[in-house]
Amino acid sequence: MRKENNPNYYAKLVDGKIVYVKRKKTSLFDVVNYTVLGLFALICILPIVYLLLLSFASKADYLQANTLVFPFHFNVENYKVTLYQDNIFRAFGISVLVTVLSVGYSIVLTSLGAYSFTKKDVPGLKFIFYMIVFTMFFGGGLVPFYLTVKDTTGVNNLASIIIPFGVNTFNMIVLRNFFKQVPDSIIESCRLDGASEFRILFTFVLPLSKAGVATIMLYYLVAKWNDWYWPAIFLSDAPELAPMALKIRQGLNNERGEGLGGGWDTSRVFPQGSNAAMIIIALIPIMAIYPFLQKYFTKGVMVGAIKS
Amino acid sequence: MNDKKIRTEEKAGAVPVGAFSEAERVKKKPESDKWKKLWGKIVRSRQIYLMLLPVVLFYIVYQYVPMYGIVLAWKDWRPKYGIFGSPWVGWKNFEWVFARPELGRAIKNTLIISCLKLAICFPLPIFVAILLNEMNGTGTKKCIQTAMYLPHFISWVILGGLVKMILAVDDGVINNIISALGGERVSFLNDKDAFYPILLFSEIWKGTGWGTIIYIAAISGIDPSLYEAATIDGCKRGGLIFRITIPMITPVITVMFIMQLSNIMNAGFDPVYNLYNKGIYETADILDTYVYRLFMEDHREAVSSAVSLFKTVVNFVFLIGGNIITKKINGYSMYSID
Repeated sequence: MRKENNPNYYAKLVDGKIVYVKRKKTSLFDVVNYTVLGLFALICILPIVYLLLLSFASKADYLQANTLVFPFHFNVENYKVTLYQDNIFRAFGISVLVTVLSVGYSIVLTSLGAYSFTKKDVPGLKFIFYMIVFTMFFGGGLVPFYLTVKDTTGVNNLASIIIPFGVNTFNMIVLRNFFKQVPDSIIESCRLDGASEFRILFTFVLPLSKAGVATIMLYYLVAKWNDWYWPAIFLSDAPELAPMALKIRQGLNNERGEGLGGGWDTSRVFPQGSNAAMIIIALIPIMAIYPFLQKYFTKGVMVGAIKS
Repeated sequence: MNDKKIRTEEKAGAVPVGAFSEAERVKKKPESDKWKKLWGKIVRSRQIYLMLLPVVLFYIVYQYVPMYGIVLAWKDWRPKYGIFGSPWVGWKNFEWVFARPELGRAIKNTLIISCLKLAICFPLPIFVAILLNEMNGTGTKKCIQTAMYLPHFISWVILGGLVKMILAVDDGVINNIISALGGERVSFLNDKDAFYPILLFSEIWKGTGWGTIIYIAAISGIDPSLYEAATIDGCKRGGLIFRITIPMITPVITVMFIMQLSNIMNAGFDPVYNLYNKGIYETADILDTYVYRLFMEDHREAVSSAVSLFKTVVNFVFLIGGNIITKKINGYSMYSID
């Protein structure tokens, strides 16, 4: 490229002659920009890093600290307390079980709906769609919902926090927008080959919409993993079934149960530290899955939100 | 369709009954054809109906069956008799709750929090997205984005606990720093004037990074030739931002703004519930938390239903209004099927 046209060079008059000088790569704007965004990113992760430090600190560190608590006496007593006293292993297992079952169930049901609503020429489809969208904004309220769940799955069992939460309408609309991007020609040729709609959905459309499935999977997964509200309502008389999120809420509000076993060193344990340990344990699964889904969800949110 | 039918009838009156001409028979055909076609469509779509069946069943059982429950707002709830057996009381529940100062307070706080969020939390992601777009180093950009999206995945329960830990009076980091600098320890969480800053800061921390995604997507959809043309015309960086980037993403901003605006009665249950306490209800109690407390703590289920119905109706009006405006601007509405 000639220097005259290259945007990286600019013209300068030196001794009556035009000289093309290379532009400086970083301007003041860049410096400010990088600093602002870098600071913001730092603020986003610092609290989590601090929790990590806190969870490995001992009581001596905590008592000596003037400002921040640093784990000079590295130990895992805080984790021991959390794991034994709060019965976190069990809660963790229940959370994993509920999340896996629930996400699987939701994905199947949501993709059935989402695929159906991409069709044209199906009598009554529009009506059904609007009836479903209506439920996004209008509902019966807590009492009747509770009574319905009680009559169908019963309460104080794990089914009651899975079955009634099958489809999130918003997620269904997002997935539908993805399915619409699958070329009609593919679906048409599958149909000519005699494939049933179920087969088309599960062997062609779903694998072709990986980003979409990953996105709503992430939505369902995070929502389920973090949900304490419905477990608090439906499992109120079955504390042994409480999932992780509910345990954390109770733990942070100092509603801890008395646990046995463990053998931790009480002189090294302090409330802030054990709370931090509990939070870190709850964050592990999300942190583990997050990097794998990240490359999909950016695209996913975009297609879901902006219909072109 | 009606028109055709009338014409057929008129003609039928003109000729003797039972004596249909050839032309008549041809004219009548489309009518029966239509039903046949519809039936054909239904038969052809049978697999789709089969697929929809579980979804429709789910919505009927868990969304439409509970809707009968709105009658609870006009009843005196007696758990023993169920919703249908409970006696009707007319508008008593509404009268009772509208006479209480708590409801007015909750409405006021809901509106204040919504407006603050609209004024402060809404523009930030746009700003950050534009700045991100101006970054050239892909590696740094990726790292920053990864860090920014992270808080979105942390639940409000955890975030609430975190905020309480950081702001605690005797061992919180902030108070430690204040006292190390020789100041007095402050009880932030019990200060009713500090609630809005705390809430907004938490919302910004959690939501800003995630909120940028949609604007980044919108910016990446802008035609690069626009930038090239502007650069050739001598446009500098600031010019590119203000004359191309911002005008091009304005439709998205407008839609997001209207969607937020139509959500004005939802100030967010989770953040408030996990950050407030009894001492600061005056500024912190919102409609959602009031409904929840009426139900879970005061056991006034019917009154709770009444308040929640009131909220839903107001929300619904806002939403329909917002949707109409969005449709005008964009040509499509968020919740349509074409």
